[in-house]
Amino acid sequence: MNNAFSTPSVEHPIEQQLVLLQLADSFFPSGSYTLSHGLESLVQEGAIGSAKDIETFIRILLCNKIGGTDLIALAHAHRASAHQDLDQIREIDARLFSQTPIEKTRTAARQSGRALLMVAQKTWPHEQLEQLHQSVASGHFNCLHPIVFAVVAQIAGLNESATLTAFIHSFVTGLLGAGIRLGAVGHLQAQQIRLSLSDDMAEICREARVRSLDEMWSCTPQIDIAQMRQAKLSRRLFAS
Amino acid sequence: MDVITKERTEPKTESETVCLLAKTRQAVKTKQAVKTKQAVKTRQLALSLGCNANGKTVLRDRYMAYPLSVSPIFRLEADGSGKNSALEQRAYLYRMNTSPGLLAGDRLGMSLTLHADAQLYLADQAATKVHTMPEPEQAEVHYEIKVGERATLEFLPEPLILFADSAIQQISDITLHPTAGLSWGEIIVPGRLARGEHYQFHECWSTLRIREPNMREPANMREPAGSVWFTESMRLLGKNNRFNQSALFAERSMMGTLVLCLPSNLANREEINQLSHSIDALETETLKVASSVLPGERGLFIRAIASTTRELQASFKAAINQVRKLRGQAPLPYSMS
Repeated sequence: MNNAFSTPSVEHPIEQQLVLLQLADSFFPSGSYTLSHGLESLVQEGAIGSAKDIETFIRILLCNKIGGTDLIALAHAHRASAHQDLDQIREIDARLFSQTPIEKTRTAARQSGRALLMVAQKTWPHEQLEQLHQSVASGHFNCLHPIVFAVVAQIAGLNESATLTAFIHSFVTGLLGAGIRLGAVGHLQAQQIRLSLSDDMAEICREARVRSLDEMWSCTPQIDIAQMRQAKLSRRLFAS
Repeated sequence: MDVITKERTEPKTESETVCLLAKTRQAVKTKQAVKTKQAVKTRQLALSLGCNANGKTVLRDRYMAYPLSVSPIFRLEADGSGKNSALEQRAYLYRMNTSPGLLAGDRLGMSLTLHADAQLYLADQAATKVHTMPEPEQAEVHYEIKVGERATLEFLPEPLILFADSAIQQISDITLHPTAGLSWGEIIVPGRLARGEHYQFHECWSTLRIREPNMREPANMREPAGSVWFTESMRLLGKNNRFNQSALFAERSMMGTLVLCLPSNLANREEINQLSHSIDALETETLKVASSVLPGERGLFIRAIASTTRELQASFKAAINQVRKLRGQAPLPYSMS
């Protein structure tokens, strides 16, 4: 039985895998299913019209943005959480916030992070989550989704590698789900795309673990423009 | 023998792979840290500008060393009625580079301080060519900028042209007072496109950091600067860029980034939205441009891609004119717009 203010130990592979599945499942209510990361904008303007386009879009996002920023921040936040270093967690959160130039992306990451924190406080009660919640209330923590995800996963007993895996799987399946809802890809094609992205997903997880925070980078010019335009679409399904 | 060597060096497990990657990264980081330390010491241009008794922006200090220098100050002329004396307050300077461009191992440093109320438009004379260099050499450029109370800096460098096999790392550290204004642009050309050279460079890594000044009286000389509130770190790969042929990466060759920071008395949602709409309206068939609000609602972050550098430059200058209009200032001179 878990003490409300201690880290539960998930020493057995099966228990760890169950936590991973729970966190990575689209059933988990973190609000990230409302995000398309600019996909909706590109579909509306006709720049994406095939399954191949969707695959390229996700691959560019993974290799040139998520792997170089969110995953690096997430890996460092996981380590800070393991060391009970809340100041460092807040510092990483602030750095990621300052390095997210697109307002809608910052807002969406905050909203889904807060939703995740709320759900996690009920599911895995822990002192770190309580303190982060108080930091949000006092304006000292942006509560970005990758940072909260790292802390929650660490508390729930996932190691760093499994946390990165859960996050990236959740991100890719969320985007594929958005593609299906936008009618840009079918269910069968979505599974094929997911499989074809496996090598890149694994590579960016490995790379993120050895990068410092000073090495965070991105380069997605066309997608940046699409993400900026998403907020100004007259009709849209997704928040970002 | 080859097989034995492979067995010894190739990681077998994920943790070994991560460990090997970490060692490699550490070696590269150590090398980069040494280089960066040297780069900080290297400074070929140091300018300090403030206002004279008439409110005109003048040079207070100027240090120039090969290959960088600056032109004399240019000003807009008022009509003599005394009503437009504000026109003459802003200084216009051209930065000049007497070298053929950036070569392997070059480390250029430039510092610029704008004291209270100073206004500067800084321009380049020509595009910067980053020449072919052997791997793993690179050129480095470091900007250290301080913009004081109510001061304004506008800097739109000419494009950076990335020749085949070139590599460059650029770091721009800006300390910006909340009451100051900033327009900071960058345009990248991924090769000598007219001769069919497209994404043949190694890497262009450009980092822009904007921080608050430390408002407290410094307790000692080691007092840290204020916190960074905006970072844009763009790492553009050339030869190893898997996506450079994809329209979803960039449907046109020229890339531009512009950051517009408004002084605190103008940095509100209404003014920023108005500015954003006017910038989005600059889009044409061959120019894609979009804007987004900076953290803390300090201004706008603008990304643009176009077929020609001329289109990007024209749109960025139009955006600066929109800021000037918002601030009740004269537009850029004809030759610069």
